[in-house]
Amino acid sequence: MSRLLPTLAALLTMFGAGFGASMILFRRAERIALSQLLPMSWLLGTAVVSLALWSLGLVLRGMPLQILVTSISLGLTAAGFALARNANFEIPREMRWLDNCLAGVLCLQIALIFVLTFKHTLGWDGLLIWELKARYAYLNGGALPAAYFSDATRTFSHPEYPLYLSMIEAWIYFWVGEPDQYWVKLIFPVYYAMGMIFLAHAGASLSANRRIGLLVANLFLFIPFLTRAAGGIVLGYADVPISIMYCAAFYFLWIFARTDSNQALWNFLILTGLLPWVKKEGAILWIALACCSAPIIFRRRGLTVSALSVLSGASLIAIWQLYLRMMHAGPAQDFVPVSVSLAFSNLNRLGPTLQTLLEEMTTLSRWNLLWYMTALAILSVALFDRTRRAIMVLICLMLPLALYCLTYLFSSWPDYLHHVESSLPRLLLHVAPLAMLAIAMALASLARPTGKVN
Amino acid sequence: MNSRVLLFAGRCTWALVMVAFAAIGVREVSIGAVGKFIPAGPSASTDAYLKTLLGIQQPSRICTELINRLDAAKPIIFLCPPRDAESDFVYYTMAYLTWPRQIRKVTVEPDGLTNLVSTIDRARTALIFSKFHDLPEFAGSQRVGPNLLVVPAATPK
Repeated sequence: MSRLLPTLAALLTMFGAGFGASMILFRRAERIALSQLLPMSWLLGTAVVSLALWSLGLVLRGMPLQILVTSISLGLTAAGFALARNANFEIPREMRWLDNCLAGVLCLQIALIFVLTFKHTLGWDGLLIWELKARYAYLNGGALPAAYFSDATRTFSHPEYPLYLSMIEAWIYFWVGEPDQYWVKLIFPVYYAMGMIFLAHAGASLSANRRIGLLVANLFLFIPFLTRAAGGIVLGYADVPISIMYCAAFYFLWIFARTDSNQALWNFLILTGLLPWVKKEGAILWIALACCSAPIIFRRRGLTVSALSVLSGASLIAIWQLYLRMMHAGPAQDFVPVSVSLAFSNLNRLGPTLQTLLEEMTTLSRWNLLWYMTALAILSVALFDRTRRAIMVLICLMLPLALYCLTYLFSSWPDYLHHVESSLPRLLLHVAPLAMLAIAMALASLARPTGKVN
Repeated sequence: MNSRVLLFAGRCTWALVMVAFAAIGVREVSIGAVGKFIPAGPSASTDAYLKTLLGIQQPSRICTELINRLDAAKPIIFLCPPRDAESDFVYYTMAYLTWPRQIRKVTVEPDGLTNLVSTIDRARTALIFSKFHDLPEFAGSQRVGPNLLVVPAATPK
């Protein structure tokens, strides 16, 4: 229990940093919804700390590094409180009994995830990909040793994967004083809690109905994959974190498309740029969002801003690749270099891959009725809600899945179907919160105009 | 009239689907919720895995101490049967625990083991055998549970 306090301190510093960063971004907003501020504080705080730890770790180690990152966090927290004095916070009011009931059940669900987290060990990726890097980084004073990247006996841990999650874990180790596979798991239920608050907020905004927002956030727990399969939140994988970041980036894109607000555009650009930092597949999610956002930003802000918007993610990918070259990291093991000729010669893989995808989506013990409901939502939206937001949801829902399937054309595994079966299920999780938003929209098109939110 | 019917049908369908979703969800989540809490500790996860795979108490500490006792200048070869998921996991976990030691996995069928070992420069390499039980040549070496045998590099005579 003595390690719980330093772990909480580490989490608080991340929240503080994110609170400051969020307040800077929201400083011109007329009202700031707490249901938006809290999750954004977490998303931005974890990003600030992980990026600071990684970049400053190139020149500093040990205690000086911890002091500097803590100072940055405290500085941002102080800036946040200074800005908060003049801010107008929006606290949910006029909640009816059903809204209160749904909010109460959501709190119980979040508590359940906290409990379940400590009933499971870290899974394969959680331990041997993400936590392994955190451990080695901590033992080396905060930065991954250069020798790790070229160590042929540790290629199983994918040295080329980005360090977002590992650096957050290493930050906890700095506060605890040694690697701790038990308390480090506390990150994941916090992520779930913040994700569900954001999903409720985004669902309420998209459907213009608070009750629907709360309902879809409540339904999210009923996806068995979250709590039972490799890739779920309780095993320490990066898939739920990236799905929440993707959902948040989409939400701000939609807000920008609707209100033309600079603040939403900045939030979108930052979150979408962070996707490749969370997980390698973030580059694909970034491409999907870039395809969806480019025409919207072009129409509102012109070609220059539209081109610059693409740069946020591209620059992070480029910096990471440069860093890997500097460290002499070996190439990715799972895929061969992309080429048109190879794509054509492996085109026959597409059918079996799609068939596996379909089988996975219809497996009730992993996904419940989620993808059936998503199909129904798409049908409902097509019938009752032919708006731009519906098209945006559809693109951001389908395009990543299509691109994920196409990547297996370049799989280097001797049996590519084994590769598909072992990784594609987890990738579906990346768009699951967005599927919930599609369901929220479908429900809104059928709902009576009650419990509306602004 | 048609749109009203469509709206009513839509609402009924969604209500049914969501009830079914919640019912299946509660059942699946409750299946996933059974089981004990894992014991707290810095090596909570590796201990849980290795305890099952090696059949010993405090396996992370024991394995780390054992590897640390081997000559740090000499690499380690982890020998195990091919396509053995348990040995693979033990190897990955030991590699995880023993950074920055060089530990390489080599898979070999039991009948090819003696030949393979004879080709290894024993003075420069420590060996770990996983799931090979008939090894009279290394009878005096350190055993870790029933399945693992740690053999330090041979001292030159």
